Amino acid sequence: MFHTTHSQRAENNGFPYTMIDKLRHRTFEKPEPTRVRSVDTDMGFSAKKHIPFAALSMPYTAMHSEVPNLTSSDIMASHVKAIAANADRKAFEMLYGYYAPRLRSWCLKQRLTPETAEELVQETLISVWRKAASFDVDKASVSTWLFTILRNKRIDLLRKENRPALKPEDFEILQEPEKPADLCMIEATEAHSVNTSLAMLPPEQRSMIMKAFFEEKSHSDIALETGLPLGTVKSRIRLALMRLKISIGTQL
Amino acid sequence: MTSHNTTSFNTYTMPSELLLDFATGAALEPIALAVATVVHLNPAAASAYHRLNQIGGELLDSLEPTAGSDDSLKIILAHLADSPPDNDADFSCTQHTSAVPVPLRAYVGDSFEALPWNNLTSGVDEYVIKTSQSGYRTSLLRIAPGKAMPHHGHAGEELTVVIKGAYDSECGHFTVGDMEVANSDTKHKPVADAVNGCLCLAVLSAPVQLTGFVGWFINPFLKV
Repeated sequence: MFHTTHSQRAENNGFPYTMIDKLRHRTFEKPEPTRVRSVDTDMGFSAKKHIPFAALSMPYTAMHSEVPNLTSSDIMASHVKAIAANADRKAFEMLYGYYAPRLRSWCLKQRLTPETAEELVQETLISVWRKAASFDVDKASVSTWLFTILRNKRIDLLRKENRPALKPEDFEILQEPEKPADLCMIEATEAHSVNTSLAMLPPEQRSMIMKAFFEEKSHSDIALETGLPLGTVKSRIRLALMRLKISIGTQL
Repeated sequence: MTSHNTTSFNTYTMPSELLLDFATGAALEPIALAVATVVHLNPAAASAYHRLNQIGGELLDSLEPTAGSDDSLKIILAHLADSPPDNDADFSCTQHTSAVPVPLRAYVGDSFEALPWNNLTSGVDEYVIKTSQSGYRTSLLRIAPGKAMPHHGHAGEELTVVIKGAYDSECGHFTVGDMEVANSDTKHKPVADAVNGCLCLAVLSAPVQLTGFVGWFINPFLKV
């Protein structure tokens, strides 16, 4: 947590002092690779755009030029921090501007009605406002955090529709445990190239992952829908995660 | 797929597809509870779960934006007026210490000892967890040191997550944070750790079929 005075904020174009120090430090320690979005799949998922986050957060672009090497994801994190520290509505509107249209697209991919989609988008973003203080930039990017909030809100919504009574918050890990060094290294090198990795998967493996995320289908639902044997679906998912270097044991 | 792999690698975390189902929100409640417990107890699973969430975040970034109505932001901003940001930033500080993994607390409270255990047989206690998903039997099993479970096969699938202690079966040595998946091809006879016994979460998707010594064990599990 950091608290900034108005004079400090003025000196930094509204950007909280300590945050800049932290981000400078971060970018010095591990320069982040340029995002390349070039995934194009058979799942109607197409993302060829090269719009950096920063272009969507205009008021901070001046600051951006003063503090080079800040990544777009760091800027999103600074918005969340500003909400936590100062209940900053401008920062919230920046987050809204970037995320609301994407959250909406995600909900529509899940074949929710436009009304339900809108409700989910609103609830997700209101949670961002309320829970901003619990966001930890060292543990996750804002996009990762938003994905988990959206997923949990969606589970909540299903519960209202008499589906399983889950308490999604209980299922979140509150503190990420210590990781073995080799896993840390994999994460550090892989974290910012997920899209590239997904693009490298064979189409039949990639389509399993896309269906799972965008259509929120379980592996057995995917088997039912595609008519593929359950074992085939399982092995495609296992191979895909192995290629993505997501290793969780040897039960094969 | 069963685990006949008892070679050098001694980790039995969980099948990838179950973690994926959990990360996307598609897992049914009893399965989600089992996976969440593993994620909570097992650093490798937590790390893999975190990576899947990252993939979710990256996929969110990659989507083409869909414009909403002009009122959308106004509605949200109106809500914000009623709800200031929470200030209890660090959940880990408020988290009290309990032997019960967080995902299970909503179901069983803060103490395993305080539960009204049902004694199945000498050295084997069960506590059935109520979920809203029919077709599954979700329970905690407490097995005394060195006790053997009856030799049994499965009509459906059984997920076993070790919470305390350990057990050995023909499929390997399972310790805290490991999940064993047994299906209709698996016939096993787990034996609890000789010193610490074993406390585990078991999720059955269909009644267990006894293939070894019968009797005491069959009835409770047939009431799925």
